[in-house]
Amino acid sequence: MTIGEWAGRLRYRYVPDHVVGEVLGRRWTDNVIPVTLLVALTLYLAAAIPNFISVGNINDTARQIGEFGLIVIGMTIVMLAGGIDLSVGSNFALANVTALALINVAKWPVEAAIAATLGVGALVGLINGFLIGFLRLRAFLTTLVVLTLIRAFVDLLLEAYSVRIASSDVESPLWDFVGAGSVLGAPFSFVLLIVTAIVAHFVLTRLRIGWRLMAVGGSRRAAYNAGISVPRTVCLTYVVSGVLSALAGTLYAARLSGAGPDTGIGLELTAVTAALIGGNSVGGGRGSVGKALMGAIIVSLLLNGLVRLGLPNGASSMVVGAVLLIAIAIDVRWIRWRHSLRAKVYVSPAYLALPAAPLFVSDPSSPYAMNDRLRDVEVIGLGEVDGPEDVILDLDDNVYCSLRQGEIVRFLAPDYTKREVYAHVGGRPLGMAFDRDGSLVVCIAGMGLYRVNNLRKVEKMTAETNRSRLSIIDDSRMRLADDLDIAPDGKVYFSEATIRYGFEEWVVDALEGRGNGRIIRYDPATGVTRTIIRNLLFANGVCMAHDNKSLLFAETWGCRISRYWLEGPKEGTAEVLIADLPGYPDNINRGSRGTYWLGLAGTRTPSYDMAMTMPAFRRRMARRVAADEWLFPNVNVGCVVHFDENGGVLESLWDLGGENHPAITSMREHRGFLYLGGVTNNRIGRIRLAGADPDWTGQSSYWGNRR
Amino acid sequence: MNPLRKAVDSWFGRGEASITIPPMDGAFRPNDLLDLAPLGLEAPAPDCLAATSHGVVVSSDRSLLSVDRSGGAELASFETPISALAGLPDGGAAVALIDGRIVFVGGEHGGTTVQKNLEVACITALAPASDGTLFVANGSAKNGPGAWKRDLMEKNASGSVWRVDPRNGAYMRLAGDLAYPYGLVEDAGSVVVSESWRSALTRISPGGDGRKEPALENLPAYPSRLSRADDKSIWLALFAPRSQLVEFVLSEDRFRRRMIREIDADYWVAPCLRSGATPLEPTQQGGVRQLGVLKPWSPSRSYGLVARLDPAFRPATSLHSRAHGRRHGVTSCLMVGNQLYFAAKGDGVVAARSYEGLTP
Repeated sequence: MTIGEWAGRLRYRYVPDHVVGEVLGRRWTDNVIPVTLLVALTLYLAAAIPNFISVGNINDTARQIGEFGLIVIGMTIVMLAGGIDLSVGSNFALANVTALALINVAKWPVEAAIAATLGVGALVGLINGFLIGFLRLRAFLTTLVVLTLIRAFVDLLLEAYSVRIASSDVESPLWDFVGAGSVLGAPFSFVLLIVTAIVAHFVLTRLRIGWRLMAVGGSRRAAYNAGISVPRTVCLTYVVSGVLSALAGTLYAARLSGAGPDTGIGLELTAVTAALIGGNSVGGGRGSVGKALMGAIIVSLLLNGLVRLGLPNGASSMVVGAVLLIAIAIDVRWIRWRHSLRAKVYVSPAYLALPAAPLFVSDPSSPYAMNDRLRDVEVIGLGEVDGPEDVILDLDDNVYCSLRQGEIVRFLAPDYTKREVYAHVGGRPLGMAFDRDGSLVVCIAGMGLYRVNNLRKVEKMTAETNRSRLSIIDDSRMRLADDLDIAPDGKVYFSEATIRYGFEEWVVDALEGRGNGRIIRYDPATGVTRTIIRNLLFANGVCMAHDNKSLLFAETWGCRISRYWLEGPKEGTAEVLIADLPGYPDNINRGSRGTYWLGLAGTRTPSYDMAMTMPAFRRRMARRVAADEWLFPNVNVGCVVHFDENGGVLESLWDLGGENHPAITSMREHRGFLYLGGVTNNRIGRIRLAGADPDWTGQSSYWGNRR
Repeated sequence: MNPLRKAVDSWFGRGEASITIPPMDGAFRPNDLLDLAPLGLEAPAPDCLAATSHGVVVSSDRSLLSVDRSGGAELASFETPISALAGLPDGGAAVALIDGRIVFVGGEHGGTTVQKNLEVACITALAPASDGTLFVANGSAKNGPGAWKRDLMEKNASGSVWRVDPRNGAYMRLAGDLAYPYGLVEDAGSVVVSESWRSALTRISPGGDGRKEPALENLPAYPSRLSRADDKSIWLALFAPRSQLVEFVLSEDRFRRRMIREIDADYWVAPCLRSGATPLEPTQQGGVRQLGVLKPWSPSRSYGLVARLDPAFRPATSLHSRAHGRRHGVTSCLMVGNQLYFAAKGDGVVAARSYEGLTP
């Protein structure tokens, strides 16, 4: 091995390329830009401004953030439903002057004045909401007009009341508390913001109205079709925004007690900037309160910092404008970029060097030497089955198979010409096994582990396992449950081929060649599902050993069979039983006389084995070559391998040209015959076995000769 | 071309470095006409067809077999395998052997042998010239005719075209640096040669200056022998399909070199005359047998293709044996009267069918 190869092997072993694609697939990735911005900005300001991180300054800034954040949350809620509210600035000013007029001039009690102010805000929101939600006016223009109207109204009010507001004084501890009080050391307005944010987050993510709101923002048409009242939902968002603006205006009034003509000027733009820079989509449907808070903090820090850096007045507006432009650009580009980047980097091939394959072509003495023993199979259900991945027989000799259409079909003994749908389970049923009471337990790709009971009722057993601590993608759900077997105590051991791909993309997992698979145990007595082995190279066939003390499992891309000890001194450990298969193992099942059968879905080829040691080659291939043209193991040849308890290969049965049985994924011995299934085939095969016990059945081997 | 751009393109696999192949469309729209042709003769690796005074003959390993007579009677045999064959206007035939000699059978020069020229070790095609001399295509300066796969994978362009005078055995070089010339036909004083690894036909001007100009480019398969019908149209045999995967492997130097070094040529990711012979051969995702059927449009490393070009070398029609067909690896075709003969070397078949104006 050259140093280059060695370095390459280390690099593919320790650099987790696959994580990039997984991270990009998560929604929380949207927060990366705002978080980075926030951290960078804080660090910069802390470094550039002396005592920026002082208690006094933080307190001051937090009080302003409290007011501003409320407006941004309102704005975000409107934007989540697909709208925009430009009237927040003048609504804020209106609330300010209303609250001051009611308290300072009209001498209303503070509580009543606040309630009335919020009512005024709600009214403004209702006007917006009615016009936009019910009359379907354009949000942008409507709120712009409302902004102007309210601003004019505020000016009129100011003309009438500003002198009287300024000249009167209020003695109210409550009002002072609202303006300057602290809760547990934090400014009241900031605490109020946090409480509001928690409530809003709860409503948006946990309550029906929140989901409806997100649905309307995601797609109005789809939301309407789903029966959601779009006008009412849209109207509601403007009312909420109006109330929150009014609340912010009230806090402002309490803090400064001043009514000037420039209150809230340009606030709408700052609020939109904050909502966008936090990562909320301007188009609706995507965003969160957390993002709104982050955006509010970023913009507040920025403005505060600019003032303290001593920039001239116009400069800060210019910065806000620039930030808004950047935020819009990110909003438009980010999602598209993220998806296309993820599509490019999600597939991340790994380094996989297999041991040399046995010489099954050139060496006639090899136990794997090729022959044509499967050429003359009896064919069952030709053209009537679409991809019988697994076949199994009951004690009455009926043949069951799991088909692509989500059905379990059975052919009735003795002549197997009558076909009936035994159960429609949905998904893509794969491995099957009978349990003690005769229920058929099935692994269903895309669904999980299911059971068809004696009355043919389909019941879910499990679809969720424990989540790995460090997994980025959610590996608690099952994407590709593949094959199972049942222990005498009823525990079901089953394989999940890969956690990164669904059934239709198993080919991509082959290209990747990483240990994405696992073995899971389900205990029906306690209902507990646990992953017991991880990082398997496409975990596939699972079979209880004849003595039930261990479990055999196949790793398809690893071309090996391993044994996992369930009891004894090696309990909980796995050891390789057959390390160098000539092909890609699929299901393993018991045979008579203490043997096992293994289906090979395809043969190893020198070119593919070499490609598996060249991950960069495969990555480029995945990106540059159409999927149909990808290099692939040879699955047009079928083989069944017969092996004993020690992993010694007794014989192999080949179908060379793959006329009847290319890609054998399953086989079952039953009363002296072997039944064959294939995931891409349209037939079930049956061949008489020479040296087999003619009375042996799988059922009796597991559960004794009881019915 | 900006070198920086080239580097960027090859890094991202776009622009010049993107993997594209011409689609089988237009004149190359697929059909099953080769598979529908009645069987003429089964022989081991029938390679090159020629019209002689004995009718149509085909080279197969060391023998010349008659195609018209039943059972493929052997007309002549040689000590070493035949690598190319041409029918001469006088009814005789010129036979190139893999050791580099050219033997004349029948006709005016019958019995003459042109001795090996050290520079011409890979004779892939012969064609009579109107002045009585013979055009000779030398596929590669580095590999013999049996190692064509290696020549492709080494990305060589070391072939050459010569003119040899049967009277004195004198060789004259017409052009070099050709990417595996594999077929020849004289056209209006010049010679048109099929350059397999460029998937193109190239016209070589008369005279010794070796001026080359493209006659037909961007073929969807690797071209081999050319022949001219009575109506002046040109028949072209294309022996293997181009595929995205092979073009990709050709662009992957490290993989390509390792493959040449470590793997048996039969198992390479490379075009071949007949694929699927052993389970050690590479397959492609779309080539998986589904529900007992290999789809005709599935990607395949072998294919049967014969194309008719008009006298200006523009493709007019084509006959195919698709992925599921049994007439793959056509290295030679010949129009005699109204019968189109073709030799499917990959499947060991010579067949003929009438050509009734197969218009698209």
